[in-house]
Amino acid sequence: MAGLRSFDAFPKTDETHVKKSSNGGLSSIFTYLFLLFIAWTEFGSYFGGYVDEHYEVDDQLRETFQINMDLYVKTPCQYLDINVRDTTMDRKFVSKELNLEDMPFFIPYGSRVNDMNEIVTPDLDNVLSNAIPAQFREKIDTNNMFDEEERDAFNSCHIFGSVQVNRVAGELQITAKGHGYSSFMRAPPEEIDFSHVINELSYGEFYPYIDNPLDSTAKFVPDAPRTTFVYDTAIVPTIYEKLGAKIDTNQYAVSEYHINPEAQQGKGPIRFPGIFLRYDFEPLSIHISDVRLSFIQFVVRLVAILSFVIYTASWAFRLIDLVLLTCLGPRWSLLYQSDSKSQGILDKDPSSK
Amino acid sequence: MFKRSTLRTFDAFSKTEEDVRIRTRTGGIIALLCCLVTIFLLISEWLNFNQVVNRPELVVDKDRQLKLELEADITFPSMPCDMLSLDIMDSAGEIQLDLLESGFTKTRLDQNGQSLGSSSLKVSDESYDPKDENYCGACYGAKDQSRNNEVPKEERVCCQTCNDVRRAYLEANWAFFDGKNIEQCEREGYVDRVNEQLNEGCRVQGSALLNRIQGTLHFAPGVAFQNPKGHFHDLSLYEKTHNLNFNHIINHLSFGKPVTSNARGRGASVATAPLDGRQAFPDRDTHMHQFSYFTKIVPTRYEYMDKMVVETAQFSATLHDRPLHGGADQDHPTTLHTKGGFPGLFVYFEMSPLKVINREQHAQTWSGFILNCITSIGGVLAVGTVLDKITYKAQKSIWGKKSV
Repeated sequence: MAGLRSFDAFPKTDETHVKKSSNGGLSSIFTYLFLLFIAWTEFGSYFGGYVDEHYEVDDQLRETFQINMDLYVKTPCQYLDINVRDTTMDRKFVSKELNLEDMPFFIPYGSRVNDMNEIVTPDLDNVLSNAIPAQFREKIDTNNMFDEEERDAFNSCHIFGSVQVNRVAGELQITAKGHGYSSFMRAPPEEIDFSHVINELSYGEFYPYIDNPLDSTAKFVPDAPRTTFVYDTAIVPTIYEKLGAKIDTNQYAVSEYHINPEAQQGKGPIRFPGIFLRYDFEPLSIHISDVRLSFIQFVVRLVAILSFVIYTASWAFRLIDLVLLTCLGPRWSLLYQSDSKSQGILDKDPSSK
Repeated sequence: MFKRSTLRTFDAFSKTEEDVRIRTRTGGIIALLCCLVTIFLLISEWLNFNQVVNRPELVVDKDRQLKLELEADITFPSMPCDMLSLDIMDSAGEIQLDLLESGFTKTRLDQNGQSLGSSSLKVSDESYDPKDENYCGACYGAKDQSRNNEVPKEERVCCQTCNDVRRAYLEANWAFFDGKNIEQCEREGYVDRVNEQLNEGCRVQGSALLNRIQGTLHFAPGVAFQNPKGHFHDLSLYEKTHNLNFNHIINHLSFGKPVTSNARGRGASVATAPLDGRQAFPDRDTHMHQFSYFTKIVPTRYEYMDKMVVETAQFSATLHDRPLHGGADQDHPTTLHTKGGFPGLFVYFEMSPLKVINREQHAQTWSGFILNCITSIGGVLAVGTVLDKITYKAQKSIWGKKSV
């Protein structure tokens, strides 16, 4: 026993040796208040609070919005051409604003190949804890970092960055040079392979940790490298709000299809191989906010609930005691035990000490 | 039946004899504080109860065959009223041309933006005084008049007024300019008035009805005309006059029924008009420039506490502008603007299938209010009891029993 005692990590002090000060009392009151405040932030929404969801029409006039993307495309960068066309009929040369780096093609572990992600609607807390804004890194000139032999294996392109585009329905087109838009060069057909990995695709401010439907999915088509991939997305602006933190972002619904233009030749309109990302906006935005009691009301309600619990407990105690008393006789009474010093906290009268 | 003594054990509210109760000064202070806090909480509960909140609800819009009202009030500081025309075209193929001639008032503005009265200038047929019954105005080659001498008087091809000549020119796809050297127009004074007004601006106010489908409305210079190739405007005079442009101030633009003054100021006018107050005066030359607004209209119903219902619409908007000659400009170095089109102010509209119903409601129900009041009182009393016990114990341990 004595050996075991030395393991006690919680040495106790006798009540008589504890020195109490009024300053210490004040600071502990503040500590309790602080603890209560933390309790309010942590589970304040359970006391009379709820997650409010409403829809509003965006009253701000916005000219542009941002597309964030991080893709691997199995075609060397020099053959790729990226444009945005929208209902204004303007053509935006996105290749000049995104970063394109040559790299050897690989599919990162955990990517879903030729498959869609499971549909997850993240809850408010999840979104807020993941909403860490970030920016894409600058482009690095990889040419000097690798020697000639290694660079021969660079058969694909890493496309990443954020672009501002008109906030109207449109299409982002990743095509091969000379296939689609006219260009000074025509990409050799055997170099074109639109197998790709989407690491990140999101709209609005860039929050890399928020999951989007297309994040970490891959399309790998060794049989038909010159395929047309179309992603049709409908964007719903969403605002998350909790305890003063406000995240203005966009959710999107996606439907995806792909066509092999070579197999479809002669049937229907001419299609070009590439990756086409269509987008359109919903005029309504979803506003998800956490509504809760004020801190004072929370404290009052917490104490009210605790006192209610204590009253019910004392009542239940009396009831059990009565049952024991009537069924088993006075010897079993919990309330009137002559030999016990303590009568339990519920019946302890502070004035009797 | 229980005996009296048995029943007594059920008493949850055990009483203490008056003699053994101890009353302290601090207890009194805490009780008073409790009262104050309770009153404060009750007042805040009452305010909360009286608060009216807007509960939006989303439904699929099931209204059919309804027209949507458009209300516009736009100022064009360098666009004379006479040249301005408003057309509405929608995807059903309905075209409403020259709406400014009906349902809109055009106010002429001088160069400082001061009103010159709303006397709109029209190329009217009335100014033609048929003194000479055999008069047959020349169409200046826009129409074939060579057979006029061979046919009876009723079948002759004539251009009696300035307007007739203008129509004939439009049909022939000829540039009309300001009508100079055309006898009919000189006689009606049209040429002088047009040239007089070229430095003026125009404010357009009014309303029109739209089909509830996708469409475009545009303000453009010159008379609109429709031919198998599409929709065109007579740009001849605009292209000749380089000081004209479509810089504009949108004083008001809204869709749906106007929100009545009774309802306004109660949240109803919120978000119904995001374009209001927008001023578009780019630094560059905007003579050949197109301004576009893309709007998505969401039908909205407001239901007020006093049973009043307002059916209207809200819209979200985005904007775009481009020079007609296309190509890249300074603001958008990586964008190649499309080429073509005509100068003007375009509003593209699109209907949402969803409808928002904003319902005014009390934030709380009566039962919720009473429950909240009771919890507040109970909670404050419980906090008070705990505080009192703590202070009593503290005082006792610090000063001893006597000093209390």
